[in-house]
Amino acid sequence: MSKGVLAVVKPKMKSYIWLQTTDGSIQQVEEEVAMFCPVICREFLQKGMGSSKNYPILLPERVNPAMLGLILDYCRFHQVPGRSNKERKTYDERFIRMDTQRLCELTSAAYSLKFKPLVDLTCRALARIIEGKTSEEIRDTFHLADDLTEEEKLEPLRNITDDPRIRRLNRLYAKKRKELKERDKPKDNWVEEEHVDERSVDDLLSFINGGGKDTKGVRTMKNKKKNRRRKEQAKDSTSSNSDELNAACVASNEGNIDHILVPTPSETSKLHDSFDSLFDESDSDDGLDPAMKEQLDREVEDFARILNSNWPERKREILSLGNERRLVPISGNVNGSINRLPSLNKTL
Amino acid sequence: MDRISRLPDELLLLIISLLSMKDAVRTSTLSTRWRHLYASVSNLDLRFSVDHVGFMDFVDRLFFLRKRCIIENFHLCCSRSLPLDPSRIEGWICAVMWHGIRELDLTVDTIAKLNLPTSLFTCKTLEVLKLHVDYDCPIEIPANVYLPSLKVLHLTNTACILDGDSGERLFPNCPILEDLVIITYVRYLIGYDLRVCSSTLKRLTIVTNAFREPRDPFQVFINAPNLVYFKYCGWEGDTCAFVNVQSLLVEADIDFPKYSGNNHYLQIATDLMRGISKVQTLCISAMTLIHLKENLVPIPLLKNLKILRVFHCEMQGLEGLPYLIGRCDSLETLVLEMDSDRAMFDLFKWVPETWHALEELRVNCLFTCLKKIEIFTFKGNEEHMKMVEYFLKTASVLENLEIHIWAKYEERLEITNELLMLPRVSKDCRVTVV
Repeated sequence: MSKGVLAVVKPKMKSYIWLQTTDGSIQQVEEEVAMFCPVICREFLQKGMGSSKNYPILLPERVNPAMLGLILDYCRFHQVPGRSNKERKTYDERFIRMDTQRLCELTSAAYSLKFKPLVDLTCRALARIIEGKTSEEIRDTFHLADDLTEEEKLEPLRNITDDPRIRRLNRLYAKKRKELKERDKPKDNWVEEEHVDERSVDDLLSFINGGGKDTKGVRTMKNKKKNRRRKEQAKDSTSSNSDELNAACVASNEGNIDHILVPTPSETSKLHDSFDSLFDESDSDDGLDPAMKEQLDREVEDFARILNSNWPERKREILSLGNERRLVPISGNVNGSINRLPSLNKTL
Repeated sequence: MDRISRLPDELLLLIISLLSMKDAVRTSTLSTRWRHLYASVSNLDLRFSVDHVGFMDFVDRLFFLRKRCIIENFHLCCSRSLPLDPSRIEGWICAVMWHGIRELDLTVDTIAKLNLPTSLFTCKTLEVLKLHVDYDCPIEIPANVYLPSLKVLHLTNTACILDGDSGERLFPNCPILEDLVIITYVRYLIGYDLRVCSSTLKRLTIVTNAFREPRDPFQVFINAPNLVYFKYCGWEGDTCAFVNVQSLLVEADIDFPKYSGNNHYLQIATDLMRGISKVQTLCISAMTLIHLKENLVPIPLLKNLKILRVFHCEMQGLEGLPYLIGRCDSLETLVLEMDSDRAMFDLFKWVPETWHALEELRVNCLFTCLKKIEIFTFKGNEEHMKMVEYFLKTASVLENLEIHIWAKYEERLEITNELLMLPRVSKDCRVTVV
């Protein structure tokens, strides 16, 4: 390893710290200047490194000699205690005037040295360069490769009814909204609701399983929108139950439920016929392959769990209310029709 | 060539957090490296403007893309005219709680009742909570509240059920609460009884029903030994009991805005005056002064009071002021504000008779220690001139009179000249016109 020594002969009064950059070159720096940087300070004080040429402090990778020079200039100015805030500010303004590539290098170097004041200064400078510019201008300034498709660029900004995750999430929201309404309604029709609950659970489960069969084939966007509106307006068709959804997720994970009901294919199409107007199980329209669909469903399920994460409290609430009325757990069978469906052990 | 994209995620996120939300989202169109970074930024400033369906989807997507990391600041603000779906907002708050949050600012209006998730009230990292929710949806303080990091709590325009019980649920479980603001314009109040008991509370603001029809009395009980700032805007019939408050209280702000003609402010005004007797700075509305005078409220000697600021002078005039000033021995600065918004409706009338009684009392601050007078929104009309003339004639140790003119450009010079010509009794007095 070649060692280029860049020491400058200085009068014996001052003490120096020796620093080595990754290219092998070693520099000698006045102690008070170098100590302004916390990492160097710690290396020197705690580990005793840098006191002589043979044991220099090894600086991190991103700090090349040019950047080290800049950082030391910064330290040299700011470590002097007597300066006023205004002076420091003016110096900073002048200091960061450099081309963007160099500024990025400096940011990187300051970051690897964990030198917070300089990191903040350089990041603020970069932010100031970015703000107010169009993407085209930013790409020009920083020489960024434009590797996104036009569609990807529009993603966060357009009205995303096309995003399948958002669509599924919207369905969950609709259910939750109905649940909120039900909660405020008087509770005498609780028993009736239980019956209705069962059906929506099945539907929800088929949703989790990656979608049942869609017997109606491809739909146009218009139909989808119409269906959604109809779904919104449909009143007591299904009661809400994102609670049920969560119960299914949470409970099955905890192994509390004996069995989760999964409809057979024939049953599925029957259920779907009646629910088609309410739920767009139009997976085939997404144009996604099954693996992608499954991944999306998992994501939505996770996200829904987060969104409904106050379920444990509500469970407690409902269970305590359950003393007054008989609360049938989800695995139970309310009406005879459900018994006809086969029960499977299912792990999600 | 592309140095910036080679910076680590942490640095890029720091840079994005320094941008406005709009610019931050725009970075997602730069390149694949930047595509989803904006979602993990530490401050989420979501103020929606026009398309609320698109907005709700956008926020959902943001939470989908976000890596789990603590949110420093979440500010959600939507306008009254386009309300949002409350189940979505609840979902977002749950997601925010899951990430972890320090400052939450919610200014929302909803189409139906908003149920705040209980995880909000048991968040360990929450330091600042500001809720401004449509007052048709009252917020209940749930049974289990535990906010160990909460320092600032602002409940604005929020119908928060504030009975004695909820106070007991809330305050012991916010162990380091320092700043509490309660501003309610509730339509129907039923015998509210607010008990504020906090040993760490430094600033307390209670504003209730500024200009609505009379409501049932509000009973406030304050036990806050470290209170430094207190603001109260309320009604006749309220009672406000202070326990342990006085020693550190430095600044107070009192406002009884409504003139109902009944003049029943005696009780509340007495309570408050007694409670704030040691303050150094007092902001008070001109209407309150009139109430004090009309009801002959006993005002204790305000011996620490150095700065007195009277606002909303434009509606009535300063008839009540001498009544208060007579009790201030060491007043040094007097600030008079007419409201510039209502500068058109200036009903200010200078009534010299009310000041005569004060003049009999030669040992009052006007003659002994008042050094600075500042007047805002000075219109230069006859009544205002009379007022300035009077002060210049009587304030014997006045050093600085600062007048902020509110007048058309052409008239300014004339008014300034007229002001500078007025005779002044104090030799050192300097008149500045801004």
